[in-house]
Amino acid sequence: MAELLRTERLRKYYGVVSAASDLELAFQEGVLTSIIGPNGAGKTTFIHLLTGHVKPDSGRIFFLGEDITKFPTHLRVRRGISRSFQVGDIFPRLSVRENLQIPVVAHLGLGMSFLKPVEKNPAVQERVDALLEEVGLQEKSHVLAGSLSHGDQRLLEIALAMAPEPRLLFLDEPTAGMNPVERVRILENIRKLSEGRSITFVIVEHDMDIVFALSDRIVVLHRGAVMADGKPQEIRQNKEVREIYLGEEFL
Amino acid sequence: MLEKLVFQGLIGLNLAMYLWLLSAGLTLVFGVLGVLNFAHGSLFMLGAYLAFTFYGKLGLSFGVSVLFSLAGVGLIGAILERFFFRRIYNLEVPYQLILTFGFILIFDDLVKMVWGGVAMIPPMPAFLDGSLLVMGRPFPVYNLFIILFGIAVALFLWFALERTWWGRTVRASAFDREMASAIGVDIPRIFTLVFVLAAMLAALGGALGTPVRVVAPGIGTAMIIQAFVITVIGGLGNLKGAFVGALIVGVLTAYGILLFPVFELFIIFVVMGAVLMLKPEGLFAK
Amino acid sequence: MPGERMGKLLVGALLLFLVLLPLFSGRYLPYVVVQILVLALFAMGFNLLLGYTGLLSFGQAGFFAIGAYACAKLLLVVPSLPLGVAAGVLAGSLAAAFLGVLCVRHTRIYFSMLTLSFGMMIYSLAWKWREVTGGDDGLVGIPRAPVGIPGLFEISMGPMTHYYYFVLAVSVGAILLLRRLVRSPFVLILKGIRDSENRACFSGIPVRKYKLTAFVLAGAYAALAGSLVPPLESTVTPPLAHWTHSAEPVLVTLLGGIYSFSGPMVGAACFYLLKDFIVRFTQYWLICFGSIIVILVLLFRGGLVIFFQEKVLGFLGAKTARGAGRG
Repeated sequence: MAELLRTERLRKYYGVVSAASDLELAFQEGVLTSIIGPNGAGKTTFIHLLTGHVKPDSGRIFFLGEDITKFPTHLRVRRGISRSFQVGDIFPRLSVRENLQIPVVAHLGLGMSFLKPVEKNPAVQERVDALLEEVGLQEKSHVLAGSLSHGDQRLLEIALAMAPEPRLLFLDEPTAGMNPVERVRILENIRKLSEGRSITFVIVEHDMDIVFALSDRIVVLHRGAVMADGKPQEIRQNKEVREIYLGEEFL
Repeated sequence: MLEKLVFQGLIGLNLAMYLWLLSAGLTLVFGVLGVLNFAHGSLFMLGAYLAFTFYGKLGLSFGVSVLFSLAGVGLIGAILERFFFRRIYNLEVPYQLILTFGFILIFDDLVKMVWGGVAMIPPMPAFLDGSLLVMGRPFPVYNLFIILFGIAVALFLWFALERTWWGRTVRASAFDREMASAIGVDIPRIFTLVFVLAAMLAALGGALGTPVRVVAPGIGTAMIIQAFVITVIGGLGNLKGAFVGALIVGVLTAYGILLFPVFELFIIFVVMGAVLMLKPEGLFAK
Repeated sequence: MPGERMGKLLVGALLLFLVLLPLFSGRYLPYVVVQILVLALFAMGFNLLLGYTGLLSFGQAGFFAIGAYACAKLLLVVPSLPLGVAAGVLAGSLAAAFLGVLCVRHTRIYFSMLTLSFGMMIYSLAWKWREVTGGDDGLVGIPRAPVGIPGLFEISMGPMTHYYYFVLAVSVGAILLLRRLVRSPFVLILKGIRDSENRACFSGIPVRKYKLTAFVLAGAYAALAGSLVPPLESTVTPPLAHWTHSAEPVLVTLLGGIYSFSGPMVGAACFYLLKDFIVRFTQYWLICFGSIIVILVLLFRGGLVIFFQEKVLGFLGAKTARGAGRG
């Protein structure tokens, strides 16, 4: 099983608060991992660090053996890392189809093309159609992304994150703000996508049902450090973890 | 040569004070209200015109003229904030900037309509007339007064913002608007007050400049570029940074005029460019 | 689609009108149309930055002026209009490339401040550098050089009609090029950067490179517009670079509609009609335009084109596939 990403003594401090303190984690291909932990544990910051949104104070990040610590975000995406955001980030003034055309165009290296219309490019349109089908938004391809329902926007975002054909995809609280019906839909989509393609998902989540239903591996972060790391069964029985979640029903 | 340099340095310090008064308001409005007011220079210009009218045309004493000018521009500032700027806080940045830009056009023509487009040179108040010998050359007493006054304003603002209850409220509103509102701060009122304060600072700069500087349309906007550079160097929203930035820009401009005329603006831009590359948040950002 | 067909009919009719114009009007109207076309080109380039990329530049007049001065300088030496225009566009593009590198790496507010500053820097240069730019007197006696290939043919641009057709041809060509451009992958990515720079980054896009390219294109169009001025007026002066001139594309685009392709052109035409109307009553037209800008921003941000598309075409039952607020 190939090692996709590895961090070495990753550090990030905000004043005296440590968001990441000598973090050392590795992610293997094909292992769906969930990252959990109480609020402020550093989960989102961790993803920011890995995707280049935020610079670490020290430490290194390796992807497929390459040191990407100094890489800007767009280069990391080109190498095969992608993400979705907690507060959904899409292109609101563009249609769903145009939304997806953008990362596809970039991925196919057609960005700096000035005279041929996008609509007429078969390679692009094929890929976009495939993505639309995978998340089930074909009917809505002409709708303005900003006017989609919340659940549909999240689906679009996942499609946007998948468009660059990443090897490693971080989903930051994909079900935040969703009703139970939408939640199930996302869950099924993620499961289907992770089984069918060569994308490895890493999910940050608070919803324990989803975490335990989907994950092959669970990492528990606390105050910027790894508190526990293992299969769902092991985590369920871990004493320290249960202490942190004291009062929460998560069996 | 040394006398020339020291002398030019004093000229630079003098210029810096006008820039400081202009930039203080600009950076304050951005820090608290979140809007970059391109028309801030127009308030400076209005301050100059009003002071000139009271002092030069109506014969009131200089001090009273300055005070009336502050009141007038303060009122204009209150109207601007309450009826126009308040509506754009939630708009996208381009629309905000375009609106303030529109006001530059309005005010420029307004002064032409009321006062005519010709540049006017007002008289010097008698008690500040005359010059001191600095390194053997005469330096106007008035310019010295401006330097001291500018420093006094800086100290006053520092005191007001750091040591008074009002100042703390303003800083809290700048830092976290929602939180401040949640604990009972009347945000709209604070915003208006801060805007009025900023307007009065700009007007002060314009009014104090009347005896020695030309009063003409566009004088504020001519300085706004330097004010931008100052706020970038000091950090948008940072008053201490604005003061130091004004000193830097004022003194460098003066030396630029002496040593590299025609290109003095370039020197300022090189400094700004350097700051943007090394520390984009500004030299004094937290 | 009825909306699009009607649009094409309108454009066709307009073109026909413009081509036939010199045949039935005097000298004045073609002169005004040339000025409208120059402003339209200026504003179209500006809107590539604002409406499509989300970057507000207050310094485009700087590139306009560079185009004008470069063209003038060349025409004073080599009597070839196409070469003059080419020189202007080249000079403007190079300046935009150089200054763009410095401007695009920053957030939107800093970008706007920097562009205003650079525009005024160019103005200051034009005003003070007597040896090169003629100072505040500017450059004079610029010939309206002919179009032609030496030894083969030569068309004099002396008569206003000839120059009118030259400007019309250049403008139509430049606008058609832009029309092509806005359907390209490049501009699609610009729109993405406008909507969410963050998401664009995460789509694998080197945002700065695209912003810079857009900035150079906008500068090229500004310079193109600028280079059409010296042969028209035979003089070039520093106010061409002043921020009040940079205000014109801002106003004109806002008036016509920021998020539509034809907005800036419509706005340019309306601007001249309005200005012509206003100056008959008062010399204080700046205050009128400032007020119009304020009113537009507060009440009517969509601009005329969107108003027309939604209210008028909508009324006629034409449903465009694009929704409101898209360009």
